[in-house]
Amino acid sequence: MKKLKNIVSMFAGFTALTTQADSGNAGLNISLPANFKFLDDIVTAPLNDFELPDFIASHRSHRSHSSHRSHSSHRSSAGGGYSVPKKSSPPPSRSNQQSEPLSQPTRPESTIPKSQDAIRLERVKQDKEKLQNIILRVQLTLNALGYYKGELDGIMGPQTREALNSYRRVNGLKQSETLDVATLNALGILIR
Amino acid sequence: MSEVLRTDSFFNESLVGLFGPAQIVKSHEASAGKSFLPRVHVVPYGTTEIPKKAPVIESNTADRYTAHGDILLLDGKGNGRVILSQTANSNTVLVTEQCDNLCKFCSQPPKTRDDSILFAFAAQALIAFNSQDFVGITGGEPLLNRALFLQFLDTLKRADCHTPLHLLTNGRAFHDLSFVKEFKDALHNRDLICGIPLYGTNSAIHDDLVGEPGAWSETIDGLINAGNHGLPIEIRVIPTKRNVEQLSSIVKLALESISSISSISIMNLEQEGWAKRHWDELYIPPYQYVKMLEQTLKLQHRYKIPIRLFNYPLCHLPQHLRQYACKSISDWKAIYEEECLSCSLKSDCGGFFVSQKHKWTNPTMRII
Amino acid sequence: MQEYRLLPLNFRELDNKQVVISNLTNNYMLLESKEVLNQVVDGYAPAALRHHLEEGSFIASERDFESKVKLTTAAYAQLLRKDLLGQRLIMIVPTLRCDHSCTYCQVSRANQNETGFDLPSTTIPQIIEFIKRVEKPPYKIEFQGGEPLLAENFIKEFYTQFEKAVGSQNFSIIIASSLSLLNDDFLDFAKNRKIGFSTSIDAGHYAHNKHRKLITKNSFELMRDSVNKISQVLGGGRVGSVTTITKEGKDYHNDLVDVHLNLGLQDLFVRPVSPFGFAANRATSVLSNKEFVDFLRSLILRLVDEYHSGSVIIEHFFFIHYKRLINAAQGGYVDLMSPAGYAKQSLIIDYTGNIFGSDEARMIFRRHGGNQLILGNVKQPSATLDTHFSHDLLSSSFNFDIPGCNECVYQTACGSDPIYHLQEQGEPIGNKSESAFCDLHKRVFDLVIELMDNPINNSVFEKWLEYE
Repeated sequence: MKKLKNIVSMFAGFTALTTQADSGNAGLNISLPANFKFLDDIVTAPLNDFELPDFIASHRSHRSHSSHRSHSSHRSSAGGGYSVPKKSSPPPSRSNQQSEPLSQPTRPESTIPKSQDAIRLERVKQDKEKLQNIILRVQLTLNALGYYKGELDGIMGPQTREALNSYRRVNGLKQSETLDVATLNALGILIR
Repeated sequence: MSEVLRTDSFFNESLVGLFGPAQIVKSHEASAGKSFLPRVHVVPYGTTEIPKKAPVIESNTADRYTAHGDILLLDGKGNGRVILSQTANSNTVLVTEQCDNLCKFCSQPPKTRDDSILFAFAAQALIAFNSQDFVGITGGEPLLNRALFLQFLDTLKRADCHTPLHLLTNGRAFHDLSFVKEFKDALHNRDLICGIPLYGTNSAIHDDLVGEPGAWSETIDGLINAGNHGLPIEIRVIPTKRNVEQLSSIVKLALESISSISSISIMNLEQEGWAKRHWDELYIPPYQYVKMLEQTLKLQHRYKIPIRLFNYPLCHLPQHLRQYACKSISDWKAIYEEECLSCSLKSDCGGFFVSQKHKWTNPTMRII
Repeated sequence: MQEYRLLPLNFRELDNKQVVISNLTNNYMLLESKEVLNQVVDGYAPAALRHHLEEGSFIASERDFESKVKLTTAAYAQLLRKDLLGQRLIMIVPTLRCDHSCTYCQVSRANQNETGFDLPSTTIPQIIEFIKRVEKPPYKIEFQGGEPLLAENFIKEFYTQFEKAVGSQNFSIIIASSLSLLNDDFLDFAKNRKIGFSTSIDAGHYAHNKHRKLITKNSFELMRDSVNKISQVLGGGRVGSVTTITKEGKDYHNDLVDVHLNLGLQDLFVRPVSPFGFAANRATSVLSNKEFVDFLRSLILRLVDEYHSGSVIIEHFFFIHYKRLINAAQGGYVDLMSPAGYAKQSLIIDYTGNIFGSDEARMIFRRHGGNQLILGNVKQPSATLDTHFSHDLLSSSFNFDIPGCNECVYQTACGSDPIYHLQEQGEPIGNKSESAFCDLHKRVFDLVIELMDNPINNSVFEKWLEYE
């Protein structure tokens, strides 16, 4: 076994070698065999989401523990823990709505005559707090369905009106500048 | 007239005509009436000061099983069901009944009608309930309509609702890397765990169980992508006659390949939905695969990731495995057979699904 | 599965003609013979093996091939991440002085009363500042020597200042000591503080006193008394041991276990005499790798028996190899990492304030010189690490593309130590066919495979995992 006593000169030579190798590789365009082309699409390493160990500032997650050989603290490597959700995780029982006495409504279908609804709506419009709640639900619903991007503030502004009318257009409802019973019904918002 | 159908379900005449989410108000609460949702008062029987304007459910049982702020879902015919309850040990909201898998044991067989309004209901319910604990999001396949799901997350964020979510998905949508990125962005640091089922180490078994050729490879891609993007994943495996032989291999495959796994759940088959139809083809009683369970549970010491058993009545497990069983069936869904009542472990036991009554309750290994 | 496609695999024939196969997912399988391997490769794998081969990602149906390749790359990425991330052990040499003059001493030493071989306590704030800059809590600090207890005031002062700087919950300290100088005052100090001890216990009372030289020739007795005192005063679980196996000790595995049983120690760690630093010149007592692994086999079999009779004692050198081989979460070990643990999992500050990437690097420096090995000095204001050469060294320790490692069956479990090969062969990669490092670890992995094949042993190893 050869042993270099002058480690310093060895280092210099080694560095030259690796530099050479690097420049040699630069010109190579390695292409995958056709069978393995799909590998190009894989994000293989989860490293992209973690910071690489930097020698100086290491902001690293402390998942694994290293132990050490020389007169060592292999003992101190024990420990570490489970990674568990920070808060209580919901037990995974799938809800079984199917078997339950109530199934979820998909589209509300009012059983109450229209005229009565219209009267109710007029009444609600007189109650400032109720109206604000209704508009907020309209905004939430239109936002969840992708029609409304404005503030969730319970105020009927131009953006809310515009969103309502886009919704009406898509769903074949009559355009309007105000809330109407047909649109509210369609949005699953019934009033009392 | 009001009637209690079950501890979580009520009928009340005054609810007729009301749809969607509503919030329960207890009259003695000072903050009563702050919700933007329609309010439903719940009072014990015989209460004299009944509010006149809002619908009122007058029932001792309803009063006992609900808390101020709980969310009801109303069907317009006078029926209301508690979907978000402060006293339940878990809460789940349904966002769609559509699905791209057709699992042989699906507890809630999918439908094809447009039910996008359910997302809006779920968003309103979550915002009004404003829980700090995890709430389950279930389907159908919640990620079937990806745009709608991203919108749903956005709605919650804009309404300042920080509720942590447990998303039950088949993970197939995550096979699309660009969607994973959009999903991650839409989370805005919200705590979210993906519960993703994996039923086989190969497509032959998995695809057959989920009734969809190609599902396994999309789920595998999805698991890799989601994990690599740091989405915490709970892997779920249901042992059946088809895959029980490779139970530990499925868990091992997941743990060695997928990043960001936070836990593994082994789930006992529920006699629900289509599982009833395929019961004899699929169900294998736990005592027939105790060795396999042992082998699987051991892996948690190797990978330092918790592996737990769900929906296993304690009497169906040998004593040394009971410590891994979780009491997962919600209180009001659990039933106990007559002979369970005298069992010394009843308080630790998840019991049986309500819906399994008279079908497969059979406490085979009596503890008493 | 009638027809299948083969995924890439490595293989190795064992002494008993069985063949180990492995792949990048770090899955291992033992085949009965080369003939079986040929059948697998040729597409005629025995039916009984196909499930296992498929579950281990060795073969796949045509339909699942792509997914299996993706799973393999993902699994390998997991392995890499495990070795790239992880807490760094920070070692401090407060003094080079020592009361012992051990025959296999790795770092040379200075006599007990000499001056100029101590870190002055005025450097403590600089050391603390440096540690906080390069590492995140919870910090793992280890005091080495020399004999660190000759600098007990330094240690006390460091503890106090460090606790103030980072909080008592954010660090733990191990003192690597012969324990011959442990006094009541220091024991009292260690009470209610997170201080543990790592001490040397050699196999065989005679070998211990022969190699761990004190003028009084009673190193073993002093160590024994101190360990007992620690247990009495501080309670159990505070002491781990390191055992150096020499020719004189190689038949004393039972003695070693009995000593640990008597002292109530659960953890031990055996190693061959280090080829590093000054120990390399004194080869008289050095065991061959084969002799060492034979010792290890006898020791592990005794520990399996002990487990069955109710005593849990874990030997960590073997156990680390086992954990690496089965993909266990806590299989990090600086010598067996790819890329190596050098500088990224360990740093050592010696008595001059110089910073090295590993204890071995410090030893080579003392023996051969080579200023490039010095990454910095804590006395320099806001010391940074000169990592130019460390980068080169680490790039040469990624065994995925190192000749000799890339086709080794143990590639995904093993690592490559650039510092070792630098010393022995003059460059950090080295010729693995001549590498004693490679030879030793392959033999230990062979031993793991051999012992795991017996379910009685394997169930004990699985149980050991629960004590981590």
